[in-house]
Amino acid sequence: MPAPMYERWLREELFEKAPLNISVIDREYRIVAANRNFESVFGKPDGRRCYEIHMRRDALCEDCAVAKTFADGKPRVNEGTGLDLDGRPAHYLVHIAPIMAEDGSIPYVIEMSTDITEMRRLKLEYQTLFEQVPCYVTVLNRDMRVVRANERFREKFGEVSGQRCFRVFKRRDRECEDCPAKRTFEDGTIHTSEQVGISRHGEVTNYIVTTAPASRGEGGFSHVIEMAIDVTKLREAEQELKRANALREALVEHSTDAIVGTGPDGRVLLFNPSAERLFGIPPGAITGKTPPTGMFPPEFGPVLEAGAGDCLLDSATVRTASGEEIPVRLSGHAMKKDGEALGAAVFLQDLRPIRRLEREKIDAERLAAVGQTVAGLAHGIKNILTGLEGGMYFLRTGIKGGKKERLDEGWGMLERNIEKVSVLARNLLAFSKGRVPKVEVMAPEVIVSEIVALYRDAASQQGVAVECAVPVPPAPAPLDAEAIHTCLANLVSNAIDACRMGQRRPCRVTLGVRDEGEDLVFEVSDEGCGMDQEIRRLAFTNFFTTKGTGGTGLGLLQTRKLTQEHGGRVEFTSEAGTGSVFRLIFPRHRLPEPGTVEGSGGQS
Amino acid sequence: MVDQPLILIVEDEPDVARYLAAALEDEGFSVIAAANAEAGLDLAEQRRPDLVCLDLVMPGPSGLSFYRELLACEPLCATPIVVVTGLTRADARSRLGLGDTLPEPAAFIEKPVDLPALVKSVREILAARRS
Repeated sequence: MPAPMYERWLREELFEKAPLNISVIDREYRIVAANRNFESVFGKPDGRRCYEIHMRRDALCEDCAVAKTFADGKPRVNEGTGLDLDGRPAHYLVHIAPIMAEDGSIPYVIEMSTDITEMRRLKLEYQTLFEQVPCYVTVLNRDMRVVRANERFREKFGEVSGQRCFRVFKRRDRECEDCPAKRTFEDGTIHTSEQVGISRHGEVTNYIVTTAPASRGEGGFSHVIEMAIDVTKLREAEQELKRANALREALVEHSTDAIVGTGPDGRVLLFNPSAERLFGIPPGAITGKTPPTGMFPPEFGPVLEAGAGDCLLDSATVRTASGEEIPVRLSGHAMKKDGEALGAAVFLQDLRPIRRLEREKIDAERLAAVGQTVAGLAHGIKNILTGLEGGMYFLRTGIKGGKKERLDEGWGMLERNIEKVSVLARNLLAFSKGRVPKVEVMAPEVIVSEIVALYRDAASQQGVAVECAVPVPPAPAPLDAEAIHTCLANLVSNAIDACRMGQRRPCRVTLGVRDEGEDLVFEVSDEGCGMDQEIRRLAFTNFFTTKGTGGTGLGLLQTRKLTQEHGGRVEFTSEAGTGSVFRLIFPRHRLPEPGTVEGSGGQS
Repeated sequence: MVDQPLILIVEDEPDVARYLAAALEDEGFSVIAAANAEAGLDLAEQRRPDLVCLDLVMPGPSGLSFYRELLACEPLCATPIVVVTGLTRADARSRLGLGDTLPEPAAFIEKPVDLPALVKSVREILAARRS
């Protein structure tokens, strides 16, 4: 373009085409010339003064920059606020320059303003965003130094401007291997990674870090913006959740109970290894399927269908894959929320080991009882044998020495001990065969009265008082009257013997019956010779042998057997020289049904 | 004879007591007998026997009570005890504590009594005491 042409353009076109509001102001502050941009914003000047147009004022503004340039002839730049044609306030960047006359006077100034309202708004918004965004924001230079950091960052890491980011974030002395900012500097793209840092208070902190170039353009960029979100709480919650899940999984996986979980459609969601073993189903074979019929006991069906509630079955049966029926204890819970079925959790305890142990325990008790009986019998028989041996010794030495009194004594010993053997054999037979029981609901005190009446007179002749103690008659109970009669007769007979062998005269035997809570209790107490500590331990095996020539030897064993057949037990206390108390304790809920006694008719 | 050793039999079975007494007397011992532990202790204190033949399982205080009392009684505690019982030695130990909570007796004779063995034990124990 030839020089004169652009000079003409500058002179004639620039004024109108420059993207500025341009006005010329005289010393009276009247706007004497304005370009189209100016007029479009502020309207035609029409000889008005600048303060009338820009500020809607009647007088010159305080601190007027135009006035200052008139005074000192210096150009000025400042920001100002004015009102546009519609009265809206706007921010302007204002350049003021003097227009000098040849004589050096300043008859006019030229004012060029640019509307920076939008820019200011953006700047404010950026500032607010930078400071208030809920994450840590820093601006890093290529030296990895923090150039700027937002308020949130400064709170967490302190005033760190000029420090290197790895020092600030991680207290490291050199760059991190996986630094996202470095990668952004290298390739100019956004990178995100998870980092673990240390706060100014030394707390380990987890971050999700995103880095982005601070500006884009042909000439590249010199800074990276790094935004870090603190996910420490999230990670802690995740860890907690993981731990809780691991614990729950371990509990479910290692539970000895079978655990089955079903969804709302009844399909199996959870089937732990114990459940697989119980039902004989291979791992994973049933997950997602509907449990086969019979897998759960029928009693549980209604609970499942109702969709809500608990179910506890102490004794139920489930069917395995091979059709075997297994006794279980079931605890089930069907869940429902807002009317919607969510599924069910079922816990099954295999009762086979417990049942087996129970059977083994009963067998062991039976064997022990047999062993005790045999030991007791052996002890008794040995005493009788010694008596027989004694009789033979007397006969032998009597014959040998010609002593008739020894023959008589020996003969008597033989007779007595042979009789003992016979009685023992008869009682053993009766003991082992048992009898057909007859259970009837009856008043227990009736048997007590009968026993007292049976023994009272004979005992009193031996200095023993047999008394009845029934202050309050107990409730009627289903009993085999003859069996209870036998038990009480045994105990009262023993008690009378114990009195005879003791020192006390008169000596008392008391027989009573009463309700103690849920138990029916018969009690026989005596003031006889009692048993000392060691002999008490042998009471049910050897007690009969302490009765010298009187007893048949099986009374206590028989009493225990008959009592056990009624679901009861025998307890006693005894002190040598003080006496004994024997108690037959019958829990009422275990008493037999009228008609039969379980386990009778054979040896227990 | 004045210098015959005195043996106390504590036994609740009269036939057994009578048998043991006769057999030991026939062997030249003096014998006294008691039918229970209390009477046995009274007799022991009065007569200071050289040896006691003791049954264990008796009504009232047992033979073990007698044994314990005897051990606690200064002039009698050295008296040798020969236990004569229907229990086995294993039962007497495990269930009554003989040889465990109470010292082993000088001899343990199980019923029915092997008479020559009893007499031999008694003689040996008395001979050992004299020497």
